[in-house]
Amino acid sequence: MMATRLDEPLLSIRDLSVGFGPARDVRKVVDGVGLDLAPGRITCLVGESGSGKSMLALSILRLIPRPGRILPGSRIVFQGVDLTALSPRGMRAVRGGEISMIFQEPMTSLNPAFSNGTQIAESVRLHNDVSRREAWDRAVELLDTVGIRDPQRRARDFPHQLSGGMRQRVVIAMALSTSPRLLVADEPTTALDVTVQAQILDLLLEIRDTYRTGILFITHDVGVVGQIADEVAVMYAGRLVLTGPAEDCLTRPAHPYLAALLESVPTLESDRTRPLPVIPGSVPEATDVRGECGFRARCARSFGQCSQVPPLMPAGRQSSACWIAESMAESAAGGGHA
Amino acid sequence: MPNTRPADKPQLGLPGTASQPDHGKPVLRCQDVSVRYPSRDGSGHLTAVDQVSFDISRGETLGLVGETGCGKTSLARAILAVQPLAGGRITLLGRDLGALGREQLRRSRKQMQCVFQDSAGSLNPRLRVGTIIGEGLAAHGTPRRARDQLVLAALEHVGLSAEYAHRYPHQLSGGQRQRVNIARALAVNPALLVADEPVSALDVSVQSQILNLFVKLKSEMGLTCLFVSHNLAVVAYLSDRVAVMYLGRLVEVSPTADLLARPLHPYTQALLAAIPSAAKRSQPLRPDLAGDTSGADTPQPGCRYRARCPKAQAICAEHDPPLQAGPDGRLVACHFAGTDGEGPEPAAG
Amino acid sequence: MAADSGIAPRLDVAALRGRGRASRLVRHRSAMIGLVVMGLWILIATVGPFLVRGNPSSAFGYQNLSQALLPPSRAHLLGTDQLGRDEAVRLIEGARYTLFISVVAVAAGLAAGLPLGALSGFLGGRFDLVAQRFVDIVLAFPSFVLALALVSFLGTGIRNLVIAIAAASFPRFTRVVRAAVIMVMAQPYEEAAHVQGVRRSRILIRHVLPNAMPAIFVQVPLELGAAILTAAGLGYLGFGVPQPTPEWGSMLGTAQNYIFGHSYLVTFPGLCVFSFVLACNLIGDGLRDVFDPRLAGG
Repeated sequence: MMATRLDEPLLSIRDLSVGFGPARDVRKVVDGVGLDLAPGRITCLVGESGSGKSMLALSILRLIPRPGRILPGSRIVFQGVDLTALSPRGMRAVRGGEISMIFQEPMTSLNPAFSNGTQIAESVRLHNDVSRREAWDRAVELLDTVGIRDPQRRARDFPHQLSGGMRQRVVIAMALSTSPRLLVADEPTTALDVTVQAQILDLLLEIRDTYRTGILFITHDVGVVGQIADEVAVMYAGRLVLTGPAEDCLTRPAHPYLAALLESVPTLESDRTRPLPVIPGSVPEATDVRGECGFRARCARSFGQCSQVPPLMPAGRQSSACWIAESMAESAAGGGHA
Repeated sequence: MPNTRPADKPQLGLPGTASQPDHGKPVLRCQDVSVRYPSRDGSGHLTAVDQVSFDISRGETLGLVGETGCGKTSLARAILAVQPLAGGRITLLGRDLGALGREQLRRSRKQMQCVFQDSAGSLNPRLRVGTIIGEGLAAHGTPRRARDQLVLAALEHVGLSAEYAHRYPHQLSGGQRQRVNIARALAVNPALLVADEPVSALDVSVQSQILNLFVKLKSEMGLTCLFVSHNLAVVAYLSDRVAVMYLGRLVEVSPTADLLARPLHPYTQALLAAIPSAAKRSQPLRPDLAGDTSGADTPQPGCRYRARCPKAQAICAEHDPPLQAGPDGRLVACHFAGTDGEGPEPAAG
Repeated sequence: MAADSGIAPRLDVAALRGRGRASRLVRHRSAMIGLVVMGLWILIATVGPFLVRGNPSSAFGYQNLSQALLPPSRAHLLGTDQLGRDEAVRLIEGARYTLFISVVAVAAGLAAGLPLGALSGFLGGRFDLVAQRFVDIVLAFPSFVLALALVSFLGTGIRNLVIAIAAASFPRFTRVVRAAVIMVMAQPYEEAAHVQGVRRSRILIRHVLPNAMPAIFVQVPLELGAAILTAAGLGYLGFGVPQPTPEWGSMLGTAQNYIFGHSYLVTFPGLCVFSFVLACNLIGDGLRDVFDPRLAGG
């Protein structure tokens, strides 16, 4: 398991596996993930389809849809308590209280039949013993905090009267209503326009700075990672393949997958006269790669030893599941495979 | 030109095409194109595209960029003649599409093809890949033997081996399916390819494969392309010129390098500022625009961007700035184009 | 540039169309039960009459009042009716009438409903508007009442019975086909074919209809069940096939006079109708389950 640089992680995940099917033939979508989240920092969890990133986020709050389940042996420790072992009532106190979650599609988090203020106030009252009046006032205050103009009026409005960006702000307001220590955000800006995304990203940075809330931000957009991440964690085909501080991971990634990804994504600075570096093949299902490094088939640097699953190994300040992690971290990000 | 095929193998692509756009006669000309939809409460219309005019030259890739509600998809569909026009004219290879009868229009479709975002939904799940690609050829009267050859040529062009012709769509990955869509579009040798978000639904690690394919098609076949996307980085990588749309209007049309180096319209500036990247790490993006596009359904007098624009002045509420060419040929619709907003300095023209 | 030489997705053989669905149907327990029961009835209806040819009750005009209203025994397994005819033999003879009427009626309903529904959904606009208003009118009548009205207008007899039942069934087919066509037309690949320049007629025949077939497969067994019930109901009221033709519905109708004391005369025809209709519904459910994920564009 990886060694953490911090002495008191906000959330500590050990050996987390999520899967479905009978015990003797279980199919894992998340395989043995160990990760620490630092308090007051933004950790970006990067991955594509089938990486298991959303399942990981859902498992923190034990929201895995049936027939999936958290497999035995997994531990998720939050403020000294193992969430996987918590009773349903205990879990309900945690959900939306100490740990909040926001999702990609704000319309599914908001009930179209209730006003925005009512929904936020409901969240406040679920976790605090306050009067309805006080909860409403707090709701209006939160709407103002998340940057919604004319919060009094907007509190009385309904979700369908708001644009996508504003709805996402309302959802964030709901998530903040209990002053959570950890905010889990599953692709909250993927469905938004880039200008609106920029505003939401700025808002999250502000939340981190003002409230010292730890944020687990799940995304596939490496630009967003570059913009807001303090820490980076990368998942591929159900396994955690890289963690580390953002400056290190993004400039000298210790894992070929992230290195290749960073090179292949076009940016405004990309040289138009040269072809983009390409990662051949397509993203595998987590259940398809067992017994060898999941990235092996697409990796330009794979060699004999890659037929064994590499454990997480230190490489500078990063932890990488790659047999050549150290040499990756030492070279500059480059050497693409166009 | 690297076309070293044996003479009897059918070639795709316009012969002797240059890799530089030929600005002679445009392949596509849109003049004051408008598209309207009946509004939801039945009381009138929603104008999705409002008097948009532009040309696309042979061999050119024009990028069309904009956010939700800008009308770029409606415009793309109007060009493909699957969306009726509420005004204006679309001319393809010199023929006015609106003036054609049904059969003439059907035959003209050979010249304009499309690739859309939903790679799986665009393929009939009951047909094999080879049949799907050859369908357009069949519809335009290509005999079977020639058809089969062209299908194989199309597959080769997009980097798929011949055996893919026998597969069904659900047996392919997302990237492979999008290649099939591109092959289908190319098989009939169209004059214009309209690509609407062709890579947005693909995994990030696969996107560069398809983008490189577009680049290759451009250089080897002289592909003329309208590339629509909300992702400015992708558009900029592929396009020779970029057109920026906002709420149904073109606000800026410039060569790509100029647009990135010196954006003229405040919205373009905001778009560029809003793109997250490692270069701006941990600093707020603060794109210079307020609010969002809600409330845009009710048309206001003057410039439609003024509600969010940091440079808005009194004149912006009175006069809607037309899309005009500056001295360098760049088109922009703003009273204060290219200024820092420190004083009213009307754009040239 | 790199061709897509990487990991190809595993060929899911079971998911290949046709073959996959058949095996899934076989594994669907209630559908298989339905198929077995229906198979038995088809067997009985076709082969049965030959097997009972020797039995005097198989002749329609036969009467033997001395043997009337006998409860089930070894000589008469399901008892005898009010005219002394063996009930079991009558049911076997009657099977083919009931099945024939319902199959032909449903086929006629489909033959009328499919083109109308397909064109309605495909063309849209005014044709759709007018056609659907016409269907609305027909559907406004409860189907049994409609069939009854038609039979009283046209007269009794097998041919008119079939027409009446078909008339009640065709609007439902129209609706189902129209809905399936509209749903398929909304798929991106339909628009892609249109952009390719494929002729509309070809799009309809080559693309739309094949993808709408699953909905039809599901509806047919359901209509079969409904047709039998309608025929039975009409027969019960005396509007069905002319006496003394052994049709399950009319047998039920005459038996109601004897329900107290000779309930077996009601029970057994009732069980026959019930079992066949149940089989139809089970098969319909099974087909729906097997096709549904595919209908979503698999």
